[in-house]
Amino acid sequence: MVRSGKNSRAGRIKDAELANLLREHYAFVFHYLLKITMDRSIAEDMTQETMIRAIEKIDRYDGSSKFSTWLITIGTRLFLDVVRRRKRETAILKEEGRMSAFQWETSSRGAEWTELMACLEKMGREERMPIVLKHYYGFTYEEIGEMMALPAGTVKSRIHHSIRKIREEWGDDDATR
Amino acid sequence: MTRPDRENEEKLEQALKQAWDDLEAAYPIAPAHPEVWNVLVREQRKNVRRKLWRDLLVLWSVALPFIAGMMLLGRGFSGFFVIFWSFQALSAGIGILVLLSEIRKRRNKEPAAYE
Repeated sequence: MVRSGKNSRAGRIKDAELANLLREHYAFVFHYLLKITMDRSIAEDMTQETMIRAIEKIDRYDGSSKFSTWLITIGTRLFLDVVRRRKRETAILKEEGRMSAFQWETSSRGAEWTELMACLEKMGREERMPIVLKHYYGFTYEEIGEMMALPAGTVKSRIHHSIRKIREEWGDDDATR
Repeated sequence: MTRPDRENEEKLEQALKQAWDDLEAAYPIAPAHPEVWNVLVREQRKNVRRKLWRDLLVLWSVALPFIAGMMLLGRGFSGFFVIFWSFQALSAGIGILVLLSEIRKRRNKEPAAYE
């Protein structure tokens, strides 16, 4: 479900055109980051940071990929950077507290909090990311590997492992329903 | 993969897509007014340009005295070829070492860098 992008040489993009492109893709990037972080405020902050990075690095965008893919790559690397930095500083977020807040907020917005959402929520953010990229946005293992700076084989095995984990948990819940 | 396995796989994929679609629908977001974006892009690009000029200025402020110094050194040591060329080789060697260390640093930093 990758949105269409512009395949022009971005080095020549004018201010107004770039502003318009970023505005068009804002919701797309936010929803991607929301799915991997499962935290609205972090997703909003990272979306804004992604947009700033995109303006700074626009000269490096050569049009060989869709603009939306390029933005997702920036968002992915930004996210991984934050996760790694937090690990290094041993200031890891209290996942439990944050996730219940997300569950509460999602439910309060009228959306059903399904067992599957609970399974996804339990996963680590780095585990969740390749699944979202593969099964929602339809990227190939190679493309995901490039985004995450990992070999395609590693991505494939991670996704396979995570899907099996979800299937086991979800299957159990499904059976008990 | 057997047929029931494939069916389960498809069922799970469908359910995942549905869950993420529902999530998107639950969190609608409206981007800011176009003028806000125009200002953001303009200001950010101005900052990038300013930073590039600053870096260029720093580079030349170091390079110019260095080049001038080497030229003066060449004149002063015109009778002492060995010493002059030793200086040249030493500075080139230091340059290469700095370059290698920069490449290594960049390579280590790569996974964390944004394209």
